[in-house]
Amino acid sequence: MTTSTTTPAAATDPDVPARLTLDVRAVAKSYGRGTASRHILADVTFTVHQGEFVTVVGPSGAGKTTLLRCLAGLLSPDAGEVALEGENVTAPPKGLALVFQDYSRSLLPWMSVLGNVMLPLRRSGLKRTERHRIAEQALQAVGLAHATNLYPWQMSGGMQQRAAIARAVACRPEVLLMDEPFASVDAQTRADLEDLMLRLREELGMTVVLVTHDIDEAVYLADRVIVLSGAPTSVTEIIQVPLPGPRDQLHTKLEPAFAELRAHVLGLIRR
Amino acid sequence: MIRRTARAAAVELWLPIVAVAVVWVATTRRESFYFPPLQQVAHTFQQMWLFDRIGSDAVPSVRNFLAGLVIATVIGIGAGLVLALREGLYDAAHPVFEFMRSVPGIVLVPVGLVLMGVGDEMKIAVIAYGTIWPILLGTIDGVRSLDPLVRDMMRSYHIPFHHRLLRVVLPGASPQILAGVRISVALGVVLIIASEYVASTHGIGYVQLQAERTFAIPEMWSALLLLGILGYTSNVVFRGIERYLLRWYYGLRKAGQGGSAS
Repeated sequence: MTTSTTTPAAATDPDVPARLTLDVRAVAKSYGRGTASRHILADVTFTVHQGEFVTVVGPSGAGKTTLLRCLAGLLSPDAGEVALEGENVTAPPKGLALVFQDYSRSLLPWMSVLGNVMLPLRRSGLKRTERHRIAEQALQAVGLAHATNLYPWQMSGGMQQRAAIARAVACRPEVLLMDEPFASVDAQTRADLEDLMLRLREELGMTVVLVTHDIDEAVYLADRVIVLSGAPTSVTEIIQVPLPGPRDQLHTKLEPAFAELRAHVLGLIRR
Repeated sequence: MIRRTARAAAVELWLPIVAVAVVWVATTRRESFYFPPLQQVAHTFQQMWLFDRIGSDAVPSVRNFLAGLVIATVIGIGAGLVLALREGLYDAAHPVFEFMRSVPGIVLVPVGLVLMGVGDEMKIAVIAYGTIWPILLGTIDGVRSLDPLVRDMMRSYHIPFHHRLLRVVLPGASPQILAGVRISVALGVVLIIASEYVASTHGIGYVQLQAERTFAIPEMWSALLLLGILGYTSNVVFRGIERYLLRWYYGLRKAGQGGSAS
């Protein structure tokens, strides 16, 4: 059962028609051939509007990472299409930045945090001083202004993931893709990082697609939650999250609507 | 800090000091022709190498050693990058490498003599050939073991090719590359001498061989001593370079994260 996918984002002004940013149409993907073939994605369709925060949640083994890699242009789907700003994604598009789950592997240990954030900016033809300024701004936005000269391995997991977020944000992407970004940090850090993402979205007007297996996180962050079925995966339901902003860990999660939505999503995943 | 340095120096030095003392005592009173007293070897060392033959024999040897090693490092890393980054190329070239690598550098001295004559070029070529393999294989190994996630990161962030090479791939492979260079340094010291044993007119190896042939035993030992000092010094210098270049790697390992270059 798939509900309407053209509903505008809760956070955007209802008078202005929301602009379509990411369009995912009937994406399918299998690994392997013949009898060893594993059908991961059967038929995944959804859209993301500009400025929207969308979370994708599903049972483990639902091909969430496969889907994200298709969106990021790192993997080409067997069938269906992914379009960013109307252009078909066949290779990693420039308007898209990816935050990986494993920050300790995606940050380069031989560079300082500042160096890591500045590295992708080299493609843009900016002057060194300009790159430096943008990177410092991004690091300040994630609360790492004091740690720019540290190496990633000198920092805690939460700080490393902040640095990875800064690297993505510094590129000024149309869409920020996040692959279970908070799965390997402790609960308190996780809550801090969730709030950081809400703040960054607010400040920078970013479009965010975040994949997670944590239902609380999915509901807490999202304007819309896309619930996936188990493999072979399709979209079970797309749920509007009418929780008011600004959200905060204590009060938002106490609201009856939050509990209802959470239970609803859990029911869909357990089914 | 000073205390730690002193401690490290003590650990490093106690055995050499004991060894020198033992040799000193063992050779002082004995009137052996083949094992002259250490004082005499030291005296000869001083007379020969400080600084009479430094310019004529030690400098050419060291120069050949460095030239060969630099050539091997540049070609080894360059070829290693190409082979590791071009899909399939390494598998095709692998058997040839294994064969060429198995040919000891020393046996190439006669071949080099025939092809290149008795000059320094031949010696440098022999040293370069003998020392290139650990560097080449270290580079290939290092580049191929680069984390696939880092490749994904480079692709999705559109990092330009030369930046990928210089700022991501090379530093990522540097622990393995430098491990290769370290082996090559030791091999190079051996090859200095080997390249000077045949049809040579100067060099530490030449001096040592001449001394042995004319039964100038203290001279023979003193050349050996110089070679030992040379080998040890090059190792210390290299270790310093390695420590500087890989400070991030030691930090990473100390921090207990199994990073991309394990």
